Amino acid sequence: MKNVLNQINDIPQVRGSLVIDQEGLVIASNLMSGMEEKTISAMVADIFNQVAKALAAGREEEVHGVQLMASSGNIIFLCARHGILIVITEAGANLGLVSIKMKASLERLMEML
Amino acid sequence: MSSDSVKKFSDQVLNDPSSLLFASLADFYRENGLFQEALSICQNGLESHPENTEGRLVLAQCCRALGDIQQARTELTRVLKSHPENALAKKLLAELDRAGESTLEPAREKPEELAPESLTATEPLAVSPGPAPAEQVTEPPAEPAPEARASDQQPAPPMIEPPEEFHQGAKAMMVLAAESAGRAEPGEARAEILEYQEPSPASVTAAAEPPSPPAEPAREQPAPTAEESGAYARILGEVAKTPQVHSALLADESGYPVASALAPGAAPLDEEAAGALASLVFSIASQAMQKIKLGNLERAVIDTRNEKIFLSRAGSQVLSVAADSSAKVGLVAVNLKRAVERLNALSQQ
Repeated sequence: MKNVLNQINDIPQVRGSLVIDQEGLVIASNLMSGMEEKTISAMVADIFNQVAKALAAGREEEVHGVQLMASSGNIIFLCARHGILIVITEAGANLGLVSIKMKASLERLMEML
Repeated sequence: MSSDSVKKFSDQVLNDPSSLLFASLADFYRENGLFQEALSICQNGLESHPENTEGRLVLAQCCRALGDIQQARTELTRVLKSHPENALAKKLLAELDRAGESTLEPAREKPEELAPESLTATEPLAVSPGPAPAEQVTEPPAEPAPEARASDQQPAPPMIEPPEEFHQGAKAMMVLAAESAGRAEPGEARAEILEYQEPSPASVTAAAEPPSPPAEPAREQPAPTAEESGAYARILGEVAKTPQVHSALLADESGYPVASALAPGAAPLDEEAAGALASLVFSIASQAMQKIKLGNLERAVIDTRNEKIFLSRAGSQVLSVAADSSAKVGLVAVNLKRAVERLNALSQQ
């Protein structure tokens, strides 16, 4: 699992990646120093659950992924049945490339879970 | 809204102490005169989210309504310490200072007066054009509380009829909560927003009320004029013309729909629910990004099975665009960015 995350982290401007379960517990992580693993996992799980609740309420939809683009960086997360793959990037990162890599990695990760 | 729905929404919030919806529920209780219950909900919620501006503002209003002026001042001062530009906090504090609270009825507040801004969970995002908050604080005495209450008693213009005179954002969330619990009542309680019809082929609508300015006397941001509504609708209409885009909606930070546009042939949009959803999601994500120290959230893309939802900050408002799941993200993002720039320019005029 670490290897899969390492491959994601090889993409330029990626600052870290982690896999969590839907309660926000970290399954695996590879973050640059200075990044708070627990804060990120808790926040992402909260966003995921709130968005999922809101979407489910509005029109029977389920969240596959979310991209959040902020002034100092981006968070992308993809959801699967057993976990959420999260990648944190710098502000100017190539999000298309990151997304492609994440989709491929998610399949491999889900096989491991 | 049935009492069952209220109970379900209440249970949902109370069973999840970490839910950020506590402030909306508390605001709903407050607006219906249940100040003590609202106070308890706020106190519990703020234990999990002590920095939640919206919850603290509702708490301050409850304290004021219950006669605890000192506590109300403390809460408002705390909000202003962390968010010096919070217009509602300034306004409430100014009211306390100005009226000495003697002219305010503790047991009954005017719902429309404070409701829209009482859900300013995205306060840090409120890039209000400089003078706006100051104008709110130094309102001319033509709109003091007694007069506002007098206008409250006039039956003609209220946006929400009694007994459903509570906050629309809270109500929209309650509709969502009720629907999530399997109580699909999509038509219920959603007819309060007056619509401005833009006569364009793109089925553009804007939620505004050109001929009836008294409908929103206490909004801190002035209600859009007919011209502004038309401009909003045109901008959104152009976004809606992007290939594979279904709809575009502009909501204020409290979840009120400001304007919307549908692509030709698209299904009707539930503006109220979509506005509440966009505002809620953006608010939660904004707070999370700041906690993770990634700065201010500017844009979000939510990928679902059937569609992509693009959310973008436009000043203090949120622009939401729904598109097919196969939509070209870059193309939509470019048009979204262009629309945001135009909306920002419009709001600065």
